[in-house]
Amino acid sequence: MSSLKFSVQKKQHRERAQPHARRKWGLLEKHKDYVLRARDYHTKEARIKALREKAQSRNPDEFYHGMVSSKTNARGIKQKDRETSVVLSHEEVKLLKTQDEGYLVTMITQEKAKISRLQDRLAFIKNEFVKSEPNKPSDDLTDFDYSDFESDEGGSGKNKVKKRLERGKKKSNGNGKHLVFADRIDQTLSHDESLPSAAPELNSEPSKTHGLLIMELSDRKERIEQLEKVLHEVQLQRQLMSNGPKKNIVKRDGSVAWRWKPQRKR
Amino acid sequence: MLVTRNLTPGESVYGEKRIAVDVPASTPDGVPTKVEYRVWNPFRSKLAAGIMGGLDELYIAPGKKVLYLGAASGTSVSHVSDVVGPEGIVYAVEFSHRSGRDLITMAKKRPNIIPIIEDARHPQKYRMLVGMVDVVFADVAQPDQARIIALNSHMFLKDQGGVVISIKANCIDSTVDAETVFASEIQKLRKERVKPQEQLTLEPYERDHCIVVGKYLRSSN
Repeated sequence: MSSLKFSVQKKQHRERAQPHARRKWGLLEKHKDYVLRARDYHTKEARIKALREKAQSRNPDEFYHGMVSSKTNARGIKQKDRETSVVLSHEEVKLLKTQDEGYLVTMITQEKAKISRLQDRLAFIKNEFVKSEPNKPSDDLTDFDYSDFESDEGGSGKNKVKKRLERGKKKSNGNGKHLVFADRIDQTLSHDESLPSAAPELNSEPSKTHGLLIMELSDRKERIEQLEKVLHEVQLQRQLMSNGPKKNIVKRDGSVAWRWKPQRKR
Repeated sequence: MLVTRNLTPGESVYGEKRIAVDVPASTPDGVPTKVEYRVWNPFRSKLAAGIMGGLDELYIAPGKKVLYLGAASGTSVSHVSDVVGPEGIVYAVEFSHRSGRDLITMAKKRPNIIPIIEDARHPQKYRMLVGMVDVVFADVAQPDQARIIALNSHMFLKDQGGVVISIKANCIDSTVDAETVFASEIQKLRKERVKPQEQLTLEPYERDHCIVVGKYLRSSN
């Protein structure tokens, strides 16, 4: 009986929540949550089982008069007609395609604006790709080498290669691949290996924001390429709907183009 | 951060940020002046991306004459004009009329830019405007860009002059991988008497792009 219990024993304890370190896995499931989930799962399982049995015990000779007018697709699933009572005319379809075009153009303009904003932002975020002198701030101009602008027409070939490599170690700030072509084989052999190469080394991890922004920039550039392709396709379809005899030609490089027969304007 | 010294202080060409730095007076009774620098964004300009990526020999320097093919609206051209200074000249060639309008507007403010709104495939059409140049920079993004650069170099570039080309692999041939495209372009350049000196891919600023710097050797001696 509940009256034989002390009130201390009837105390409702508070639930423990998901620890802070594990919060990415969401709610900590208790028994009541598990029961709900399990019941839902088993209901669905039973439903699927019943449907499977029905499908297996199907009568292959079944006939309903509705079958005469309806259709099934290749997998045997019944296809319903679109519930539009209106069949659109040619001009109306053309108008809808214009609206598609307009939408795509808007999207492309927006993406271009976002890309240019991202590029501006990225130029100002400090990125730590390269450290030739790790403790020096990257925009310190005190060791800017003004001799780089002097002409070195008097230098011999060997000195020039070495001088170019020396310049390179100071001012690289990316992680692109850098190939230097040597004039003769002895230049490559005599290239001092103790000199740090012009190719930068990733000393520290580039900052997280910078990496995310770069990924976003490349994703947006891809997206704009796809949008422009789709826009081109919609424009082509709209052009093809215009009247006038036209024919399909295949150009020399394999691309397909449409040409209209020239008609005299009256 | 890459900056160039502004040739037209107080004006922004395409909305880029400017930084003004105080220069103390050279003589004790002189006035301190301000020098203005414009930020050159490597994400917008291939040449800036090449510089940030670590090109050894750029050939574009104060006092040089530069032929810039594929000038577009003139954002990079303005920075090149800052670098070459008042003694140098930049011949900016651009075919599109829309971009050409912006180019001309910018060239009105900068006396060392000569805008040429003409197809770079036919350099003889603007031969009256261009003298002998020291460097050819090309950012044309056309499949036959090697031929365009060769024609312009043979006509305008001095012997031992510099050739700086930005190659977009997707535009030349999108079926093969980028390294093959770059190698084939360099081979085409060798045939046109341009000796390649270095090739730098523009990661992380652009994908599948590279800059090739070479020297134009008119005679094979």
